[in-house]
Order: sequence, then C-alpha cells, then structure tokens
Amino acid sequence: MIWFQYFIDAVALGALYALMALGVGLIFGVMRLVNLAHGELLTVGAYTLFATGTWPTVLRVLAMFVVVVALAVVMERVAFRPLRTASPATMLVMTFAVSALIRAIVQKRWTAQGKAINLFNDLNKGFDVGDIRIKYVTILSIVCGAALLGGVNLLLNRTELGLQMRAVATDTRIAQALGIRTGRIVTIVFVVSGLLAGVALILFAPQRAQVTPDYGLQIGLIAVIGVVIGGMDRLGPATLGGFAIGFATSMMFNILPKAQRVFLDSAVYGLVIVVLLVRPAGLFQRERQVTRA
Amino acid sequence: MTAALSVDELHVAYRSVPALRGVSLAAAPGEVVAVVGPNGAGKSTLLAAIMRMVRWGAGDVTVGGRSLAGLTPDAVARSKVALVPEGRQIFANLTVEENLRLGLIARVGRTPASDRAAIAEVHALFPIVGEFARRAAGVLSGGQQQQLAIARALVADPDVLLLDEPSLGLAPTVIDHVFDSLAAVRTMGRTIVIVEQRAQRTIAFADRSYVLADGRIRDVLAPGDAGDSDRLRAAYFGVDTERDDQ
Repeated sequence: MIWFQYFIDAVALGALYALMALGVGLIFGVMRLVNLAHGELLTVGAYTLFATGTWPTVLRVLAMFVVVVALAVVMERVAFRPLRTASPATMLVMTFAVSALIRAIVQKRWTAQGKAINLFNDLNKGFDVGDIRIKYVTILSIVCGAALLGGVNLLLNRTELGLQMRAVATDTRIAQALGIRTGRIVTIVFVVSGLLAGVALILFAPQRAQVTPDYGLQIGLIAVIGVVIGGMDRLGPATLGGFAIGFATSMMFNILPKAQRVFLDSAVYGLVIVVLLVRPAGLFQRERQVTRA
Repeated sequence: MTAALSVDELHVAYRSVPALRGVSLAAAPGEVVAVVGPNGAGKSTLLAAIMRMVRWGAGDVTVGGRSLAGLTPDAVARSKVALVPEGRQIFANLTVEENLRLGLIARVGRTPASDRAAIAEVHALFPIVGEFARRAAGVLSGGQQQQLAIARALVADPDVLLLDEPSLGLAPTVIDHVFDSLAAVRTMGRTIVIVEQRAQRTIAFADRSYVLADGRIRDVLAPGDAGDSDRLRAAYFGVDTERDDQ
C-alpha cells in the first residue's frame, strides 16, 4: 500500500511540473525560445503573496496573478521580442540574464532570508484511506493539472486562436503574411504561460511555504529539463517530460532512505543524463520524429 | 481608373546589396501581370516587398490607391492582398481544412455565412481541397499542395493575388492544371501578379509581362511576344544584339 501512497504523491508533483513544462513548451513552440526565467514567475508571485499577507485571500491571489502575468508579458516585450531574429544562443543567454536580474532584485528587496507565503496552508491537511494519507493539495494538484492540460489542449486544437498559435509556431513569417497578428499571438502565449505558473504557485505554496530569491529557479530549471527530455518539438511530449521528471523526483524522494535524501538532486540529474544519452531527441518522441530531427 | 496595384520606383536592399533598383509596374483591376526574369533577378523580393515582408529603401506600393508604406505584413494581408508563397509553404502539420481556415483570417467583414461561402467556392474550384479536407496537408502531392496554397489565398477574398513561382517543381501535366485553375481565378475579376522563371507560358497567359533582371525592369512584353526568344534573351541577360553578334 505504501507504493500506492508514493504513486499518488508522485502523480501530484508530476502534474505541477507538467503545468510548468507546458508554459515553457508553449513559449518554445511559438518563439523557439528556451525560457530559463520561467521559474522567476513563481518567485515573484510568491513574494507578491508574502507582500500582500495582510490582504483578504481573494485579493492576494488576484494580485499574484496580475503580477505574474504582467511580468511574463513585460519579459517578452522588453527582453525577448527585440531578439526574435537573434540566434538561439543569444536568446538563451538573455533569458538567463533576466532570471539572474530578477533574483538579484528580489534579494535586494527582501534579503535571502526565507519569508512565509502563508497561502492555503490547510491544503496540507487531508484524509486517510486505509493506511494511505491523501492530502487535499495532492488531489487538487492532480485535478488542476488534468483540467488545465485538457483546457490548453482544447484551446490549441478546437479554437481559432489555437489554430493561429499553431500556425505561428510552425512558420511565423507565413502566418503573418496570412493576416495573423503574430505579436499579439506571442503575447497571448506569454499570458497563458503566466496563468499556468500562477496556478502552479498556488499548489506549490502550501508544500514549499518559505519563499527565497531562488524559490522558482530550481522548479523552472527542472521544468525546462523536463521539456528537453520529453521532446521539445511537440507540446505533448514536452509536457509529459515535465510530468515524468516531477514524478521521478517524488518517487526517488520517497524511495531513498532518509539519510540519503541529500543525494536526491544527484539521482534526478543522473537520470536526466542517462535519458539524454539514450534518447537525445526526447523520451516521448515517436521514432519517426526522432529520425527526422 | 485607379490601378489595383501600383509599384512606384521601389528600392530594396539586403544589407547594402541592392535587390530592387527602382522598380515600377502597375496592374489594373482584373488584369493578369507577370514578372519574369532570371534566377536572382529580384522577383521574389518584389513580391515580399509588396507584402512588406522586407523593408523598403525608397519608393511606394499602393493597392486600390492606398499606400502600403508603414504597414506590417499582417496588415497588408488584411488590405485584400494575398500571397501564394514560393514553394507553397502550406502548413504541412495542419489539416487541409485548417490551412483554409487560416486563409480566412485576412478576410474583411467576416461572418460565419461568408466563411462557409468562401470555402465552398474554393472547393468548387479545387475539388481535391474539399475531398482531402481532414488530411494532413503534408501528405498531399506537390500539385495538390499548390492548389491548396492558391485556395488558401483565395478564401481571403483578395483584390490582388500574388503568386511566387506557382509552377516550380511541378510536373508539366500538373502545371497545366495549375494554369487552368489560374484561368478560372482570372474570371473572378481579381488582379493577379505571377512571378515565374519559366517564362514563355507565363508571358502567353498574362495580359502584360515585365522582364526583371538585376533588380530593374528591362522590358515589357505582350502575350504575342512569348515566342520572341531573342528579345527575351536580350532582356534576361542584358545583352543587346550588337554584342551578341561579336
């Protein structure tokens, strides 16, 4: 039964990383940009929640979403859009610089000392089924993850906006020549990725209750790694990669003896290296696409 | 009468290398105008410049009397100018139907009914596009993809249709089919600008043909000039008859 407990926990964490990976994957899809600053959306959102600690919960959550989405849009407009035709390496360095700048600013403002986020801590409570402990946040993570993955899938495949996003992702030049306002589409993609990060933050907050300047860094990096190991050329495999790395992290955390948990990162990144060596084009890419890539 | 399309003294340079050096041409409503010339003459650049996909150095382009200066390519597309790009450039990973729906985006004054009518119209013109609606566009043959690319441009209801090398890479029988469909498009009263390297057939098809070489208009030909290969060669390669004789 203990394995089922591990499994449920792992699915929940996998769902959160999948949400982050979906945001990273959407941006990569339309801009060919690997956004290393995606995790900083969580950091800034978490500090927003800390700074608004005395406000009513609804307003705090609203303020957090406004700040996170605005930051995502500003990042794109100010830093990424001017580099659209630059080399991937230039864009990558830019996202790294944006990430470092944001971390430096929040550290200056709030120091490196951890601050309590205090949002929905009751979600850590739960109920017992036999000898399995199920937290509310676990259920909520799985439900939100599934709903949002499904929602984005519907948006992309069943709406005209989604069709335009797919066209821009495939060939921006031709999409624009067909009358699509490509700049607006890219902005919408950043808004969506900001919203996804906001939801992920709400679900991370009860589990990681202290915000430090590197709060989102690790999560963002793991999401980017998830996208790469899943297969970044398509959104499905990329998101699945995020899920897989979250799932594996949680599993390893539970399986490793308590004294060995300091090796969790080594184990996760070791696994990443093995996956990249064995399937460099992506764990979940179909063979046909692997050979084409 | 206002020209449907007018290009006036257009200059375009890539970095500092000139690609168009003061090109002027005009097309009346319903006219078919061809731009022919050797590889690298600036033909594709001309169409890209009309779409504002490349930056202008100097000059102007007007459509129905309105200047396209300062517009983005998507705004040009919404000004009733549609491009069938070189190499088709359909979205291979999307279905045929989705490709057509993308074409509708530039339509002015869209309603669900007008969308349906536009799709039905191109289905009648290109039955293959209706038949394969649900298939991935990438599995179509080259000729079918060209029909899809033309259909995608037509559903936007353009006043000016720009075609960049529509016969490139197609078998002769398929080219026949493409020209047949262009003849049908011609009857709709839209202005057509065709850029082609394969000159003779295009010259015979068009109302008027401009020979573009080295970024300049070298000659203007009537359909009857299609067989005059000496004149064509002279315009293409910039040699006059005297030098030819030496």
